[in-house]
Amino acid sequence: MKEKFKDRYITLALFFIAFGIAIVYQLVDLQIVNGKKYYEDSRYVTQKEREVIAPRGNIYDRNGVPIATNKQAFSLHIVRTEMGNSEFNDMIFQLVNVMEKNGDKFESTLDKYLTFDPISFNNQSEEKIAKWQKDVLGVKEADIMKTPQKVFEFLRNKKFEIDKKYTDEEAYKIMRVRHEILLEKWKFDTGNSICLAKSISWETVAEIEEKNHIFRGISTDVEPIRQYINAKDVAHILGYVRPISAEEYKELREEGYKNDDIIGKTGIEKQAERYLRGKNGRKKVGVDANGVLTVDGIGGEPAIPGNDVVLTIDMKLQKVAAESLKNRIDWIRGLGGEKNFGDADAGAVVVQDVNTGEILAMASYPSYEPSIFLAPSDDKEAQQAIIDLNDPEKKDSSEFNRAIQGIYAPGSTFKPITAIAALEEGIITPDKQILDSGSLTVPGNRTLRCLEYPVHGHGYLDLKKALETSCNIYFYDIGMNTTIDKIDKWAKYFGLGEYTGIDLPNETKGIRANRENKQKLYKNRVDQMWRPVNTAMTSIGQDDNAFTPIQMVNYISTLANGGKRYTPHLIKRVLKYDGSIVNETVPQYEQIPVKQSTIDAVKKGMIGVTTSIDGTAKEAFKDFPFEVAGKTGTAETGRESTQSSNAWFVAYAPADNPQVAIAVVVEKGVWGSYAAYIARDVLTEYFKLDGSAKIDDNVEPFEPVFTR
Amino acid sequence: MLNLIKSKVFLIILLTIVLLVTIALTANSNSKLNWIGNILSVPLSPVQKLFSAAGQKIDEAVSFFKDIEAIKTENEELRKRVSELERENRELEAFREKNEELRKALNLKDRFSDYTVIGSNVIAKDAGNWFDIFRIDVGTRDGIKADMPVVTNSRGLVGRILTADVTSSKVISIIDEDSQVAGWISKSGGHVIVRGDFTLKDEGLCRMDYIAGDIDVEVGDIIETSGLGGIYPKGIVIGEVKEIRMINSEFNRYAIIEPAVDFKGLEEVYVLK
Repeated sequence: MKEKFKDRYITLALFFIAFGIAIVYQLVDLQIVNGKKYYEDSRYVTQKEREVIAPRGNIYDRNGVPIATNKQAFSLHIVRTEMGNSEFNDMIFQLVNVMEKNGDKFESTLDKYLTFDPISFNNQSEEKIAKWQKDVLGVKEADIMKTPQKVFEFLRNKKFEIDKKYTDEEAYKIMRVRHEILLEKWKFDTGNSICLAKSISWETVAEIEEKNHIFRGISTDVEPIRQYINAKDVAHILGYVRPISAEEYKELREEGYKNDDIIGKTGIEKQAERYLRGKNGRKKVGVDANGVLTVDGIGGEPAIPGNDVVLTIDMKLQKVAAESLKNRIDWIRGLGGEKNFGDADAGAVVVQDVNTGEILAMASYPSYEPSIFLAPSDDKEAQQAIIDLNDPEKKDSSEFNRAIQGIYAPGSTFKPITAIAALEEGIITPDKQILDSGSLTVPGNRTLRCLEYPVHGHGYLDLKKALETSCNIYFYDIGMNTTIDKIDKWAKYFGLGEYTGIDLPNETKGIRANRENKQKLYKNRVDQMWRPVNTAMTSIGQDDNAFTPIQMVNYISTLANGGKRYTPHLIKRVLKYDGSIVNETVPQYEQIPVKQSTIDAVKKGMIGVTTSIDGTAKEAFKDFPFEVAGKTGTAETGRESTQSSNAWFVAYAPADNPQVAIAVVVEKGVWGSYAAYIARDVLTEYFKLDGSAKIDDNVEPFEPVFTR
Repeated sequence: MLNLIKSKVFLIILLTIVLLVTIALTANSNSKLNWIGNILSVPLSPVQKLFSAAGQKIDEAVSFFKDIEAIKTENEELRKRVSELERENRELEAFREKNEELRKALNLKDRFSDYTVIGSNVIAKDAGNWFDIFRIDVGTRDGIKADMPVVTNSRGLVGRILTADVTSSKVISIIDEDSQVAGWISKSGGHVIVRGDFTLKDEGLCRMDYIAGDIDVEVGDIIETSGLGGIYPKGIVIGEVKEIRMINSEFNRYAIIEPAVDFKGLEEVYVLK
């Protein structure tokens, strides 16, 4: 009996020893052999990938002055943790308090359907409320509630089980946050994080992060958001970004765009979208057993910043151009005079490097502040500014880029083209004297008069004199002899009425007055007919002629550089984040078959415009340190009985060694000679000259009663 | 006899069940807030201390044999340096005494006059070389509560109280991956977050994130608490910048922080009450 017990005892002892060995073995395995791995496993209960937003490329001017960059914005996220409703609501309420304390706001869609104080459906239709209850709140068709109070009680007591200790107002605050989670319930339930707020303050970030053991499942993240620096002067070139539209998303989803991406909408932001857009990365986010979020740098993929775009624009020159345009327009309005209705209100300036085609400045007035498109949706001032921008009644701000989209009859600024056509086609020589007797009768029995001296005319004129004084009779005469088809050929050579190919979206083509366009523009057979008077009018830049300022500056550059018609461009180069060059724009040009003698002959006349006693822009360029080849234009709009004519001025400088061309247009700017003052302001800055012709009351504007 | 055996078997079974239940209870939660662990820790803390000391001794012995060859050659060089260092040591001894005096002058209590400073000894720590989570010998009896900041006598930030028991408390240090501190770059004045990192913890280092793009940060910059997070008061030294890392833009720039506190050899810490 005793023996038997002893055996049993030994068996038991052996069993315990074996058991002990097994435990020790397991312990060694758990703690030492694979200890680190198990520990890691225990820490990262759930691991999810979170997207890292790539910063968009910066935009700089030609000297590296930043125009568009990114700033860091903090966002607030929540991920599911094991918490009961009561504990969860308490945590949310603490979060609400921290956010409120620091003036931060949650994204909230609950307000759309259910407001507090008073509790209402926010004027939403019954169908919408019913759909919301079904889709978001998960209410069955039969249980749909008709009053907002019922929905409030349902959310408070049943859906979110908010404790009685909270007042209704406090409960509503908790509801707003929880409703946001409810909207993305599926995403939340599968362990993904939901964004609760954007652009939160640093104070909130500090507290949420330091108290991460209290704010379980809550995390902050840093995201780059666009910012524009002093961009109003350059608004039309820069453009702006906004959230992607449904149509754009449909079109671009295959390229990896998501429905909440931002995308360039206009200007360079749109044009260079493919360069500027970065490639989003991913990072691993783990929630440990305590519900604390940990970010593991390993195994993710860094976001690749978008490429930087360097513009050909010189921001200093751009600023001078934009300011001069605005100030001179105000100045012109106040000048008075017989033909001045005081209605000048818009315009454009374009400055181009004649040897590369680079656009150095391009201003359009009125402008707008592009930062309004980056402001959060609760920024009332910015939202109102956007509404005003789209309101055709409000004329203080405009997205319309007059420099590439506005088309205007060129008036007398077209005359060099007529002269070139006549010279090249052998109709005239520069020295040929043509008599202006005060009027000219064209076939069809129309008599056209000299505006300056309608009775006795300018007398005999050569080309130089004709350009200086802008004598219409001279150009009617040579134009008629050259014929429309040949004038049209040369206008086309210089790129007028053709797309210049500038690297901006939505360029306007413009119209050349010719037989073909007459057919297209008019329905009536009589109007479609090309008559001699049309040729005469075309020769002085009227009739159907309508060109953009960018076409005009490009034509002047081509004239200045000896016949190289460059493609005007704004993007100088594209750089990778490490500074290496992705793309450098090589100037492209087409040589047009114009003789140097022709160019020289026209140049003489254009120098006369700014220097000779009869020159139409001699006042604006008084005491300018070197010669400028220019041409004024006062373009009739056909509405001269009620409003002022459009004012043009084109020029290149210095006349003997051209570097830069400029085109200025002022809508209802009265006289071309007025627009010349803007060109002087800009050229003064470009050549860094002192003694700019500043606007002050002492400057006596030259009022050209006769010349055009 | 039979009764005795019966009761013995019964006793063993009972004991086994009790142990298994205890194991189950303690093993079930991998939370750091483990109440059974806390109950046990009070009587067990001296034992824990013994074990952690013994563990370190064994580690040392193993590494001794491993490196014996290398040590032999090193020995020669070291001998030469010993005399050199002895001289240097005497100088340093003088400096140390001076330092001690100055430190006394800069009494900790003056720095945090709003706080009561409670001194304590480290009595136990988790396995591993670093004091990422450890136990100190003051508890609720001494007025210790969770989230109280813990510092060293040299104004360095250790961490905060994770949980407090009657006679002892658990401290979570800033190198633990669950720790985040709202920091401030003293020189250039930028806000940052200093967090423990799972990998860096093994080297006793932290990671610093959210460095704004327009903030200059350099190796050697001192990082202090900013006081904005609500747990740590302003002006406690966290550490200094050891390295700055950037992949391709200011948006993924971060820094490695060498804490002011040596997390390998903590003995005394101070709780700010």
